[in-house]
Amino acid sequence: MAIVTISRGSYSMGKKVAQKVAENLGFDLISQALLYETSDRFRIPHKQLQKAIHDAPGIFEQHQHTKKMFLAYIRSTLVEMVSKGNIVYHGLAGHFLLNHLPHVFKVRITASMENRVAVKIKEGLSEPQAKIKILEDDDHRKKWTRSIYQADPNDGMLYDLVIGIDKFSIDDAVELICQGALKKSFESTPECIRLSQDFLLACKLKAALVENFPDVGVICEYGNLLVYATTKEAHANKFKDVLGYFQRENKGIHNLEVHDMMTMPDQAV
Amino acid sequence: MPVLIFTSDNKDFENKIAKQIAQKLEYTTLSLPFLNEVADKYVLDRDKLAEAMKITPSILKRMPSKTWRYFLSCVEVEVLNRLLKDNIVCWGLAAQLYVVVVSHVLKVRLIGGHGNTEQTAGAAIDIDRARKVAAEHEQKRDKWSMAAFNRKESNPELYDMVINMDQIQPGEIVETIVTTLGYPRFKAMTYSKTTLADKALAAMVKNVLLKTQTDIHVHSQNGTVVVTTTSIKREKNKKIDLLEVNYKIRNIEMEVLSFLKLK
Repeated sequence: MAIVTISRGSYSMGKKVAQKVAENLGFDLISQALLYETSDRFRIPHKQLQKAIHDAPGIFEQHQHTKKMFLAYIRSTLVEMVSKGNIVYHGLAGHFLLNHLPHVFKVRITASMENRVAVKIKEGLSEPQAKIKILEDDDHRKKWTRSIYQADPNDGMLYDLVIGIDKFSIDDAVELICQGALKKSFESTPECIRLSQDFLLACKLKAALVENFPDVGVICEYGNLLVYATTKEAHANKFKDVLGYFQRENKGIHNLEVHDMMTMPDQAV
Repeated sequence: MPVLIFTSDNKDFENKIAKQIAQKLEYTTLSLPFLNEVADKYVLDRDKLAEAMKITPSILKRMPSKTWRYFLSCVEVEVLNRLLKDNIVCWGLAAQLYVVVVSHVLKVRLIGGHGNTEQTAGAAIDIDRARKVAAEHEQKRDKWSMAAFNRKESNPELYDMVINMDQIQPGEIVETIVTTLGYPRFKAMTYSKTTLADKALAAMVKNVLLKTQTDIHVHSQNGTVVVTTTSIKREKNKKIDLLEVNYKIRNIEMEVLSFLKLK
């Protein structure tokens, strides 16, 4: 039931590693399928989702909630896709999107600039062009992570294991990740399953509310949903309608409470 | 055979895990007590040498920059010479900052795990407080490592592996590192041994020159040493003479220093 997320710097061989890890463990690999699935579910063009999860917010996007909305959709889809376990997710922001789940083995693959440039040169770029492209990519990732999660993507604390691929063969890196994923700490216990179900409910409700109420926060514990909103939001008819519909359409909800005028906890989705 | 350079912001775990790995692989260890040997060999004050590994130079701390750099250089020379012998687990001597791009050296950093140390459990310090203390310590170490070797100790790109101890247990870490050291890529080859020997040689030359010079950079490739320094035009010859006199006095093998150039 383990879940592995593999994050990487661009052109760091992370894709190959992820494919082999999934193959060796007999897990399903999720990569681009996440955005296509989100696109189908929420009827958002794939390109817009791609932009939301990859590009740093531009000057005019800072105060718009489009990015926040698309991310809530992507997160809700991903949490549902990984809820069955035995998944390798190789894509952007997996370690952030699934950060509430304790049994996710979060891996980052890094490579030296020389090796990354060498990969791009093989694709036909000149050395300066390759360097510029890689630095641009890195810059986008940094800005994106800072603006959405106020973190640095290179901070080791975000991951369980960081592998500098330069000194390892791909097979060695794959073996290390497979060993890690099968460790006791990442086994899916009944408690983990319960947390996954709660997290999924919270993410689904957030996705249902985010278009009209982008700043609400949702927590779910033992099937009890707590929604943190402003007084104005909490009394809006549309808000009540969405909550009512959500409660009718989803199983496993024991209780749903709206808390206004209360500070939203850090762990709220 | 491989060399393991090991570091952690949590000194409890650093010592414990490094010793366990050394024991399991029957490797020799190289850690903080080695500083006393270095101090004795170079006739340095033991306490001051230990202090130099922690503080950045300042007049208030009675450690001028020149002395500080010389102290660090002594440690670097001796550690590199020891690492040439292979099958070593080294920690606490900042080797991760000066042993770079040597293929048979595995560099591992442990982070996190503040919630399960004996220290935090015994003193009932909460995890958030422990994390805050660790972050402050990391900031200090980064400041030190930037001043000493122009590299941030906390930068994950400096290491081959960074393992977060929040979820992974010490026993599992030992197992993972032992497996990794067994990979063929970490076997010592002629090329990687030469790279390490070059680093040791460059460090030795730098150590000799640091007694009289400050602004020098020493690099060695296949036994050829290049010293780079800056000087104003009228001092150029004086500086070249000084460098030459230095290596002659110190009796460094002439064939090794066959190419000494001032840029």
